[in-house]
Amino acid sequence: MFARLRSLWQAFWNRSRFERDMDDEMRFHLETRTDDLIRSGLSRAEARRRAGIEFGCAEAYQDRVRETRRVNWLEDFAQDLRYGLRTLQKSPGLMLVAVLTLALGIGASSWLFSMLRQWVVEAVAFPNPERLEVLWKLDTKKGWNGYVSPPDFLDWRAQNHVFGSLSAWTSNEFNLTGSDTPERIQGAHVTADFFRTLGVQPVAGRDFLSNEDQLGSPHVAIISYGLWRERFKSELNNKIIKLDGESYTIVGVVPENFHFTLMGRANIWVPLVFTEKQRVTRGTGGLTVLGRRKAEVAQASLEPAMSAIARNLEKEYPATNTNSGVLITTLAKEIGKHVGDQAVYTGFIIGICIALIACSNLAGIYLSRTLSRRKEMSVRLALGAKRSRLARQLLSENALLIPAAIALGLLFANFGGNWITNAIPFENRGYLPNYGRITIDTATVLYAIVIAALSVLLFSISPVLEGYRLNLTGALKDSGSAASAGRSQRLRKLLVVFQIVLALIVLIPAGLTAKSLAFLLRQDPGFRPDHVLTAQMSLPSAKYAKNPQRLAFYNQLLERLRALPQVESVGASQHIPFGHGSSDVDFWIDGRPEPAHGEVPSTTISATTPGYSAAIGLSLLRGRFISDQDGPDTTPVVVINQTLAQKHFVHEDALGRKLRLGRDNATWYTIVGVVKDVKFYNLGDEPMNQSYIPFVQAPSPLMSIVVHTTTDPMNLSAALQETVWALDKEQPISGVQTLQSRIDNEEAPIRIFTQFAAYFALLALFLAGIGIYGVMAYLVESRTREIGIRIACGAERGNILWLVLAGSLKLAALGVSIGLVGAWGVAQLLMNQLYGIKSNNADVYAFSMAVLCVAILFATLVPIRRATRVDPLTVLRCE
Amino acid sequence: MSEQAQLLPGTLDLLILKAVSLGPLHGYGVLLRIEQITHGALLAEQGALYPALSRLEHQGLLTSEWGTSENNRRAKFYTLTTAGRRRFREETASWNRLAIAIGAALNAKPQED
Repeated sequence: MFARLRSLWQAFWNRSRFERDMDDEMRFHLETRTDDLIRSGLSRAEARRRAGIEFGCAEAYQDRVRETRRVNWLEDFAQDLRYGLRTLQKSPGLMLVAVLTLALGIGASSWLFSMLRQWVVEAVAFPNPERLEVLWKLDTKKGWNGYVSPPDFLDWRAQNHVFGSLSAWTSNEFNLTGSDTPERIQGAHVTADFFRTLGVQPVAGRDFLSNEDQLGSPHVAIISYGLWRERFKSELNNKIIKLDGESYTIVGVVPENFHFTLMGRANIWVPLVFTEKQRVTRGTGGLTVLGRRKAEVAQASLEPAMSAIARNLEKEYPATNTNSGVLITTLAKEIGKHVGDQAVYTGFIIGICIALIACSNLAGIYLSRTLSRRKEMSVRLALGAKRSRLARQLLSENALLIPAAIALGLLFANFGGNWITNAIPFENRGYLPNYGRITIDTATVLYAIVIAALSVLLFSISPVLEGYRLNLTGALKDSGSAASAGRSQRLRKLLVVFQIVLALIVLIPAGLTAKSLAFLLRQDPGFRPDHVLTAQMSLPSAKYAKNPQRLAFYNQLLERLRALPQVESVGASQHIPFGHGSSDVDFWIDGRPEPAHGEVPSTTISATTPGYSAAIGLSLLRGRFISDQDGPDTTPVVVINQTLAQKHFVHEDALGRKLRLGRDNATWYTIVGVVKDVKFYNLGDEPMNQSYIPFVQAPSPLMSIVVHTTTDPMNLSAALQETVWALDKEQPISGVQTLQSRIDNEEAPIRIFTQFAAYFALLALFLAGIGIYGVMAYLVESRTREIGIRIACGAERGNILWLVLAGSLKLAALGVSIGLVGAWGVAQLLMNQLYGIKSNNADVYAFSMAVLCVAILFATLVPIRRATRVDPLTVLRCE
Repeated sequence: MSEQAQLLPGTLDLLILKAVSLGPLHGYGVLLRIEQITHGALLAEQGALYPALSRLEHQGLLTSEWGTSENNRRAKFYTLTTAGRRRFREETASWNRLAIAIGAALNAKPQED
């Protein structure tokens, strides 16, 4: 082997040397021969002539020497390709199936590979991403994580020795004014060291100075590249931007590709400045903390270090910090949670399964071809072809398929990528790496090539091995005798089992998510989602500092909206279901003993106008909703939901009881009504405490408008905006969308995954069905003679049917039992994505099995029918 | 010259191996050695030696090295490799079996009852 390589190397790369050596060698021969002939008495001229004659044509022999070193496999390959093309022309249908199958497998798996790589594995595009950590406050008793309060963050930062820098941010929307139409843009308040923590340098201007997040420092902002280009024509000399009515100097621009996915489509960043009051308000706060671990500190030592700090704070501030710990996750994992990395991993596994099913189909196809070419192969062997040469021929015939399959596969992958991006609601894409796009890049192409090469190698090997096993005499006699096919039958049966296993692994996650989606869609949201238009707005505190101003604005707005045609009713609420978050407050019930630290119950709270319940279709169970009789100075009232009433007023009437809402709020609110629970974040929400207070008594600047319309709600979107701008031409409005679309967006991930899984389940069934059909048909055919003899001996057709069926059932049983175990394993990955259903849901497993068995039965039906119709006479005569 | 036997087709490789097995030789030396050990059996053309040598070298049965010949010229010397030696033994054995079989066949006389 080595010698051969060396001589090839010499012939190939040292061509001139090789030629020279060959010349020298032959010349030496001729000269020595001439000398010898002279010595034997010939004249010099005669000797040279004789030597030449004896040698023969030197040129011709040089050619023949060269031939021994020619890179033969190249020629062989070309020959094989020509031969492959000829065989391909003979059976174009078969080859088309092979290419399509391989392309589907390559496409599916390289699409999901790209998704996995671009959304999960390489989602963090900052320097040394492995040292970036996200910190949350952890409720050590309930296991929930939540936002961090400013004083807690400041103490964490001051007391820890494990983070090189610890920064914090809170996402925000800003009213951006100063151009034609006021805009609401996403952004964030960040501590001055936020970009330094990430390791990002502005491309223009500068980063925040370390003192720019101190109280009283001038207003500065850093903007996105896109905003810089669109609004400021890529110029930057002390540009001023108007945010929420206040002026900010733009000091820097982040790079074009900067995308901190946890902030969505953030376009503007301003320093996070804590007021004196915020600095001491523990327990509540909306901060997320981002830290960069020191290089010399191990990931594992973060948890103990930070927990120790949290325990000290717990002792120092028991009223607010009891049961408060720290939850530390890497930034990559945190992003993965947004993306739904487990779903992506599951998807990738499904993609691999599809590829494997496709490959085993291919193997089946090739196995059939090899067997049908037994005779041809045997003849060639008998004529002296080497077995390795035959194997090489079989392999290089596949080489024809690969380029076509790769190209087609990448096309499929691109299609799949576009499909999933378009399926994701625009609002959600900001929270995905690369804005939810999946690109076919070099890595994808390489992956496709590797998968294709592996599949062809792995799955052509079986037919090739079969070729190696050809028994010359046996095959030449050829009668497709069952005995010689025993081994290949085992191989084929193995393929069937393999495909059943894979198909089940694809089917069961699909079934689980479909059932979970069905569960979600069955849930009662607690309101009427149809015919409702929603929008959000935030009155800037500079312009609307006082309560009466806010009241006046919103009352006027609601009144004008109510007067619009096609409007049934209007209302407003600080928070709406499937809106952007909620406010939570601790509450105390009048006449109850003070609960222990950490045992204080909490509820969502929302300032709401009287029209809200009608506009959104909230069902009143008892008492009354907030009404016009509630004024700024009347008794403070609160409306609670069913869950709060049942949980905290077990054997008593909640109506008339009083609640204190919020640690720093001394007001007692009288409960005047009980309403139905509302699903707030997700249709799969567990019931939680909810409460509503009158907007007039707590005029929030941030409100969501809810308009119940008689026609398509989106018809009113323009009118809604114009009404707002007629009142205040600088007031932006955002999130103008129907309530139904908000729900749809929220449930989009599971809906998309269910669709995806369903498509792939169908594909898997289809591919596996083809494969199983092919193999079954072959198995039946190879038993034709046996069946014929049985019939001739008087076997009932029923018995024959059972005979064949039993064979396929045995395979199905084996495949299904292995597949169930595999599918159960994959389903564990999905556990957190499922609602109202466990990952071992028996119905789904049974149903998937049933579907698969039906498919297997269909795939065997045709061959079985053929088997029972075997005419014994024909069969025996063939012998 | 007509009384001289021609080499049997397919025996050249075996003869080359035999020739080289007795010690390193250059191409012309191989020719002389073959003539010597076959008592003058001839190649149709001496040039035919070279493709055969090249093939055997390519198969790793021979290695070659440039050296100086007895007449002080640069010449390419061939040596048998381990693989070559093994092949030579195998081929010799199978040739002998064949030769015996053929000989026996040709010497067979019609059976008498």
